Amino acid sequence: MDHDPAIAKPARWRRAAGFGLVVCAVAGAGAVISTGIAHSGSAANDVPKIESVATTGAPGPTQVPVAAGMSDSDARKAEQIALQSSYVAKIAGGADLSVDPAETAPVTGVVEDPSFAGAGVIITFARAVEFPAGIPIFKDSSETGNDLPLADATQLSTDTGRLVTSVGVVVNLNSGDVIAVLPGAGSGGEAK
Amino acid sequence: VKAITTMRKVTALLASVGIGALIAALIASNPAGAATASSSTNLFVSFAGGDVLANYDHGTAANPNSRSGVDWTTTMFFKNNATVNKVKSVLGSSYSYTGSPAYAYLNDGSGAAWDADSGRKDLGGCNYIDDHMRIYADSDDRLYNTTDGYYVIASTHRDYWESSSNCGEYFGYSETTSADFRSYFVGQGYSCAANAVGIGNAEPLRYDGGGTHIWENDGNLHRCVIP
Repeated sequence: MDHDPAIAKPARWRRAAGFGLVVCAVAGAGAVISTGIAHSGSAANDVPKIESVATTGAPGPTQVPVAAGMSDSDARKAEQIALQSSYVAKIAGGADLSVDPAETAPVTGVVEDPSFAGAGVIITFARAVEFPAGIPIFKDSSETGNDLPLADATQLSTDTGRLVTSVGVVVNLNSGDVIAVLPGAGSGGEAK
Repeated sequence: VKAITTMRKVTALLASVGIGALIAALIASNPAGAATASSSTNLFVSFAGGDVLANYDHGTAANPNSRSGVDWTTTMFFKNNATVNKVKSVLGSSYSYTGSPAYAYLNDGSGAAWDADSGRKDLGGCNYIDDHMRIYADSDDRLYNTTDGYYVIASTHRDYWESSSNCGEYFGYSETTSADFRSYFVGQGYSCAANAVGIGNAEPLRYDGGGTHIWENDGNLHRCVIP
């Protein structure tokens, strides 16, 4: 019947449509994978996709990987923004301070603005300093991330008398602004 | 006619698959939360005997294969004759507080299941930084394989100024926190080998969730023996 001219053209259209939808399906599936969803589903008995193998008899010690995902120039720019911030000067209150470049790393997880580029910078003080009022800090959030757009995610600190020897400074690389300060942040800071 | 009908069915099926995949992609690339945490590496590890263990715990018991909405890396491993309650008993009064629950997906051969745990932590609140460990096993409070005996796994992190009073809370540093806990167990007289087992969940330092969820993990478990 495909040889009937009256039917052949719709059949070609359907084949073309079918091919297009195959391409669409493949592209869609690829997009799912590329966004990090390894396997869809929500039932408790989903079979996990095993992506790495280790055995308890094969030690494999490694170091914490070096921060990735940002250029040296962006890292230095972020550190300059942090060091020149009036908030940091206010927190330091005259104490000497330093930056550990190994702890400068990208800010991720901001899905509201695809062009957003940010970084976190750790500043260490030569002595314990009191974290003052009037510094932007994050509002309450969940452990798995802040549900608020960044513009609404911060508030100004109050005078708590909290002593810190380090802070994290979250900066917006595009605007040059400090978004928030993390009292006590740093892998070497506030040791317990 | 039959061929055309078949083609229509196939076309309809492909259309539904393609549209479904595209919708899933859009949802995945634009979650409701504005700033969320996502894992960057392997979600599971295969252990001795083929046991399948979570490399991360999750904020909800919804999708074990979702990289978004994960909570913290698995950093500690208690073996020989461990149970969740035995480990918590060692943590004792030094870590007597609990937090909110998280969820790990596990299968030691007796069936895949989510386990929920609120963990143990030291004093937290608006003026404190606390170390928080969540410990996971399946329904009988322990996992088992012939190499390690009865074992459990745990995730670790720090809660900074955690409070419902907007004190500037944030969370992170799983590796540093696991070192604190390993030192505690060693101090209590337990054998704990540092970074003894590589499980492929290394997370370079990264200020995720817009800056409130700080990743830091070397991809190795501290291995403690619980008699």
